[in-house]
Amino acid sequence: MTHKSILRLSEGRIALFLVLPTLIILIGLAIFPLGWAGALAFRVENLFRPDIGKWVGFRNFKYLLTEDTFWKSIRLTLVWCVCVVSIQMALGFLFAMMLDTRARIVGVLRTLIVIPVFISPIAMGLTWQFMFEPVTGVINYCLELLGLPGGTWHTSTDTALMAVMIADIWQWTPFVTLILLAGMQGISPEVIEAARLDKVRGWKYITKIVIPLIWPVVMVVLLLRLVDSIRIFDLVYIITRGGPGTATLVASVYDFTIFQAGRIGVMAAYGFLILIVINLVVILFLRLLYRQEKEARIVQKA
Amino acid sequence: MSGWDDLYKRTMAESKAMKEKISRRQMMKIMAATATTATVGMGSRIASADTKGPGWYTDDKMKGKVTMFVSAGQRWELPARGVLPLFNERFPNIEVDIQAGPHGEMVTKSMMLATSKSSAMDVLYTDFGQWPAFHAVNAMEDLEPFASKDPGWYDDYNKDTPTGVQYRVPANADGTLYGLTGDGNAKLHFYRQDLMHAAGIHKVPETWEEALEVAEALHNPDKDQYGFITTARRGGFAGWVFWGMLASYGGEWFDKQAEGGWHPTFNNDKGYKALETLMKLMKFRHPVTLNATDNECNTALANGSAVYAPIQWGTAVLQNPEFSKFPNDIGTDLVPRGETAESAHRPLMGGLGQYVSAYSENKEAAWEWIKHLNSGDYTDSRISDAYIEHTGQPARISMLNKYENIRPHFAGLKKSFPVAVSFVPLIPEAFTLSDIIGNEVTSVITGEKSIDDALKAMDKGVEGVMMDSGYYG
Repeated sequence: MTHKSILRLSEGRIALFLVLPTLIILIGLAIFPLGWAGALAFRVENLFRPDIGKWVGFRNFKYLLTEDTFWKSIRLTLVWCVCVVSIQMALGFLFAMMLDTRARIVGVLRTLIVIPVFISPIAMGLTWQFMFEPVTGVINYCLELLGLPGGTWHTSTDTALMAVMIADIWQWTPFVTLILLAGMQGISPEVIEAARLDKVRGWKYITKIVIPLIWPVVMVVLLLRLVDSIRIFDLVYIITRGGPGTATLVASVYDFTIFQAGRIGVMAAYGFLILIVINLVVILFLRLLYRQEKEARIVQKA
Repeated sequence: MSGWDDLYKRTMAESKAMKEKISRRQMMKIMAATATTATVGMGSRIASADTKGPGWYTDDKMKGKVTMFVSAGQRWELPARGVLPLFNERFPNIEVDIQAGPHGEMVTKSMMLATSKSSAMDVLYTDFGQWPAFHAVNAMEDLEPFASKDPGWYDDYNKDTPTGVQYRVPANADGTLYGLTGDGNAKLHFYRQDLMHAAGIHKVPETWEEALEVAEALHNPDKDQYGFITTARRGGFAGWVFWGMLASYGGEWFDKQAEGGWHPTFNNDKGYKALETLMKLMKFRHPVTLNATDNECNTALANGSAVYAPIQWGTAVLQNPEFSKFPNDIGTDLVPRGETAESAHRPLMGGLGQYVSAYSENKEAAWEWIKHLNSGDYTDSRISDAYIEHTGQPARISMLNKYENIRPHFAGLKKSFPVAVSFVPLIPEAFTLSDIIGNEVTSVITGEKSIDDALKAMDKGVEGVMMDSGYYG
């Protein structure tokens, strides 16, 4: 064996030694649980009857795919993501534009606007729950003072999803605002000056100058919010527990209710189906965005 | 005869027998207790030799640490903490560590604690309805050897605690004791006496038809006054409302609770009638009803926005002036019954209690602690006082009698226990099944399914779980 090959071998061993802790953690905390969950998806496992576990093939999947509630939870999750993320992006962009000035007050406003992001979702969920309360809540009280009719908010199947969306939008729009504002403030002053001299203003300034220049930032914040929205749990669970009925039974809350009923096998199967469905949606969405970005670059170059 | 009938008849017979025994004791005990509670206003306890009963003893040689897991708050953690100083007085060298956690997740969490087989938990304070699941995984210690060492105490416990919440395997008076159920509850009929009188209704509704009339008469949404509220949150909560109504129409979960049976029987006339009546009541529901657990119901009743709850778990808070705006106007009685020939007042009954973990390394100490917690006047009347003072809701009939004057809903509980049925069948799958049933009930309320389809789905879902569990092929 040559000196070089010995060195290469020891380098390989050192590399393996260095990677090993990460590998063990990854296997222990991600790969093994995922594999275990995968196995559970094909079994009948009841938390309250651990002694009756058995392999049942695709039965848990079949059960879910024929359940209306499963499809409703998927639909609700998608509606949630589309509505919440698009409104947060639109409002966040609007606020960022408003704050993108050199006025002194902007610093104070930036500090104030970030407060909702730091509030614990549990505390915030409970606060919104009390505020939404149709009979004794402060929101209906204020509406009544203004002579407007009160709403049923989180207590009605028709309005519950919207009510929780309001809470989520309230919390996360400032985050979008801050990130987009940072992107806007990174636009070179020369570009802004050139636009001003060329009399590029208003809508044209936004669509032709601002958006193309901050597009990578938009992509990042969009992806962050999308992923966060797909796995929404805390806020929905605190405000409505997925109810009334199934009105806010988004994917993660539905999965948790299955777990609470002790149906571990069904829960695992649902987790896998959700993983597949949501990943498909995300891939499609990202491809669409990538294509748009590519087209925008071509236009820019032209 | 079905298991329910058996349970119901045993409870009723024992309660009747007990009534006479208690009435003799009552004469002295109630007078003493009433005087005590009236003078000290439940605010302090008087330590004197007079408070000690025949079960009193101390032991400073017994040592160890007892860790008890329990849901935080009223009826769970607080009564335990309330009686702990007296336990320390009796067993100065046993340390009790009360680990309290959020109640909402306790059913699943406690099951996971039990299946972990950890010796870190000596006692679990949990819902009586869950015990068959713990028993199925051999997590519960046989308490007979411990209880038999003190026959006086055991006899007092057996006679004073309704059989409906005593956990024995098999479920009869000769079965082996696996847990002590110090807390009892039943679905009660809460109504606003003042509003009913104002509406010209002077009789507490006996049947669901009459309950519907009251709900309609009191319903006035323009004034934020709603004629009906119940715990109709999706899952178990909605399931137990339905089961309560089904029971009142003479319905059952299964054809029989024995080998050759266990086939669900929701899809029949009784099931239809129960859901139909529930839907009629829902017309007058308070806005929070569909997502309500006890907290939401009690809050709405206490602030006056909900005025009628004919099928609601018993609670002291509604008649507590610190919580309720109408402490003196809220009455309690038996839940209504159906109108059919097979109908009867059959309120659901549950209870909270403790078992000693089979994996505990301090079983003797753990037993002494749960025994103390379930003792009442037989050991020391200060235990009863502390239990009640710290939000306890006893299963012991003697304690219900004794404190009825300061906890008015105890009268409703006392009336309910003899005719009550368990809120779940005593099988490990009970909570899984409750969830299936409740989800179908919700689908009817929200208009996603017809009553017929929901009842069919209930039968199918329950049968599937029972089949998986090997009750039949």
